[in-house]
Amino acid sequence: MTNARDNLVIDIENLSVEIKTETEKINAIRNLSLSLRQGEILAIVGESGSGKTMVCRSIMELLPKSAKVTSGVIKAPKNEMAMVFQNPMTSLDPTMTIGKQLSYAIKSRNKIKDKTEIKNRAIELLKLVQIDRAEERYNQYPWQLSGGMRQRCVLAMALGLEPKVLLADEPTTALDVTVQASILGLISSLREKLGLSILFITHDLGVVAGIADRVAIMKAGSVVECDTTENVYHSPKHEYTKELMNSLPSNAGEFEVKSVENVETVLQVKDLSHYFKLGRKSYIRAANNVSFDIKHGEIFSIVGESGSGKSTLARCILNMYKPNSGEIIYDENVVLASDKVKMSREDKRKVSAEIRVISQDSDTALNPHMTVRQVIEEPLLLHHMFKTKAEMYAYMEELLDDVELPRTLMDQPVTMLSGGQRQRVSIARAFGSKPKLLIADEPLASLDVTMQMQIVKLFAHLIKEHDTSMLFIAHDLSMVRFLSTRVGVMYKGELVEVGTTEEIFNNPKHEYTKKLIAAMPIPDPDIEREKIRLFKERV
Amino acid sequence: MNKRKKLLILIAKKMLVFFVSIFALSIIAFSMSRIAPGDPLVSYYGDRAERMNTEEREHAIHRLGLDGTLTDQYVAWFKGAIKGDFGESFKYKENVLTVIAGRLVNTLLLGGIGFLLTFFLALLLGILCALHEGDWLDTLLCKVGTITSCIPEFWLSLVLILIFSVTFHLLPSSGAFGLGEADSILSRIRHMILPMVVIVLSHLWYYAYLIRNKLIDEKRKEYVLMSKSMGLTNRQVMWRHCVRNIMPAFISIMAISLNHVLEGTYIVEMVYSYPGIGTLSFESAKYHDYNMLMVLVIIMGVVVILGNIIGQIISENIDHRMKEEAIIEDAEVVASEKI
Repeated sequence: MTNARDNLVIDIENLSVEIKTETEKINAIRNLSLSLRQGEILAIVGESGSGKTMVCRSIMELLPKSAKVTSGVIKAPKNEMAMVFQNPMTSLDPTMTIGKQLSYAIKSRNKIKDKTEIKNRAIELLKLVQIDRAEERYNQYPWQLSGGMRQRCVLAMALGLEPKVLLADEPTTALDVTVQASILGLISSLREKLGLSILFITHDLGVVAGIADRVAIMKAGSVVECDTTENVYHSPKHEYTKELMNSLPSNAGEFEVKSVENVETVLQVKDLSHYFKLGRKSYIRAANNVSFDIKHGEIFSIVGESGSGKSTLARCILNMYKPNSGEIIYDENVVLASDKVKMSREDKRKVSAEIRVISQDSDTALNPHMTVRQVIEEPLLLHHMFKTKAEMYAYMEELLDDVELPRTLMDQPVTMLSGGQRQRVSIARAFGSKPKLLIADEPLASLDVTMQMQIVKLFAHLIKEHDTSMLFIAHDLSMVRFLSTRVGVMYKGELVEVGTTEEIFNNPKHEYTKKLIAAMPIPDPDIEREKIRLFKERV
Repeated sequence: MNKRKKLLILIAKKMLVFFVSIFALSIIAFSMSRIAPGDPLVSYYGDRAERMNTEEREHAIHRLGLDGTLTDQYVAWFKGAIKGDFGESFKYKENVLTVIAGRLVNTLLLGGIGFLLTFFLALLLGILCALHEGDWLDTLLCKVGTITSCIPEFWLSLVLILIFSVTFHLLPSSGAFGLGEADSILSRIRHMILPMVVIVLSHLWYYAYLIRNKLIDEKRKEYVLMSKSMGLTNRQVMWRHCVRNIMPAFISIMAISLNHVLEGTYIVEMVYSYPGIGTLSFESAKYHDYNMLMVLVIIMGVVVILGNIIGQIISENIDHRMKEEAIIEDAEVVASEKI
């Protein structure tokens, strides 16, 4: 027993943390015990609010002022730890060069005084995290680098502290799928090279399947299950772990996909281009000659990494941007957007009822000063859909039933609702005016895993019930695979491939699609480990 | 060589902006002062102007260069101004530059030192509050600061005179120096203390509060947490990262509000009978002393525009994202990546 204890680098026993807000006390962590062994990668997986970040901050002694440790002991090597944060866009000082920030990191723990020695060490670290042209990057500012490159710099800074333990708090969440895969590979290889012990915090079961030795599942401030990765993924014991596993699209079974042959076309996008002007001579081609069509009753998904032009496309369809060239035709005769024709007022009215949008962030999509009733009735009143109030209210209650919200919430202010409930309200609002086409721009991105699955199932159900079509924009490939009839892949403003879900996922043709599908994290340790191994071989 | 060329182009650009702004300002000031109702002759001839007959009036108008169209007058003024001749003050009947010369230094000293003092004290106070965010010290300073910034300048001036000059006879209540002590630096400093206190106190909290809030926003950023995880203390993070990063925003605000501090000196100068250009500006506007007004407006313009340019240069050197070329270069990189 004593031997096992010696092997632990971090040992947390019975930790409880309390957060004081103005009105109440919240138990962020409740009696949590956890240990990190020498040289292993331990993943803490949990949904937002489960307290995983608090664990990490308690270990680093970086708790906010309002939080207090009420009980428990944390044994951790304080001077041999380093931390990597979620968002590489904000975790670097924007006005300082990469080199200077790295030097600070190196100086803070080492006793190196010599300037050239520090610089050499910094460049060595940049090379260690696989940054090309390291000497050049040394003098660059964070904003001149891409997201993945910045996260590598953050890693380099952490390694500059010569740590034995690395705490990584969602280090890949803000990154694109393909970049995420390379960072995961890097973290795994660094562990081997430097003999690091790593605590990896994430909400995505797919991400850690390949690199973690052990997985701890957290819920409401305590660890409900902690076991080897194989055991957790293949034979989960706790109810909550099972629920998590079941809400993964790959475990949710097949969804019945409607055939879209020989049905009318709802939306047609022809050679659409939209450029953003930057300087006098420079443009960003956010959408470049994009053509596709959406058939009646189908769910057409567009996938792509951030900046690939997905949202620009959606905004062009919604007539928020005027395209530089090309046209969008709705219902075979209404021109929605074009560089030539302007939409008539009558068409605008018709279209605004028939094409509805569901946006990404349910927090900001609803006016916080309104009640659920006000939110849902607004479009109904605008389009004069009902003659009497009684009729309208009856219909609104049915809508709430449809989105599986209790009718009692009708007169609640939207600020009182949870994230998932708010997204349901926005869905109810969108379906209220009996739309023919729904445009959902990353509707799941701000939700937890279990919630995502519920919302996706709701979408599938409602689309069938209300006989509508949907343009589903997402970066999460597994959900897309589960839900969509056809998929379009966007890359740097161009639609590189369109096909049925089967074709895209089983037989991708374009190079980029192949890369994207390969990088998609799959919550199966065997598959993911093989991927990481292949990745390391390539580097 | 290339770098030098770039620098020269940059300087040329800034100079161009400077002169165009001053030119535009002079046109606006010139036409506005002349559109305003009132009789400029009163300023020169006093009561006599009202008793003049038509011939005398025309003669006087011609003598003061007020005949002809507005454009003609402006061209005549501009020609003189380029040669350094800004005309004669209607009220003082002397060359305007002679009237202003001695007083300008007084105001620039009072306003300039007041400005710098406000700047540094606000910075220190802001940092102190941000470091102690939510503590009793922060709360107290916020309350006291809000109260002091609400006190009107003229009232504060009078109270200070009452306490320090009338009751305790510690400091002089008016003038820029004692009788026969024009060369004594000590005497000048003693005369400057009270006006300076008023100027600083009435502006200090506005800027300190701004800095405090900016710093508190900055403290919430993730890189602060990152730095703390590397073992930096709160104080180190504050000085090394936060203060530096709010500087561009702060400097540009200070540069824009340079004229507020200078305006502040006007009121204070009047209360303390401090011989600066404050009283002059007020009088020149009131009595239609056109030539005087033009020079004063242009001097203020030069100060503010120069302040802005200097502020911009400092900010650009702290945050390289603000450089126009940098943004275009960056955009081109992004654009080329996309294509």
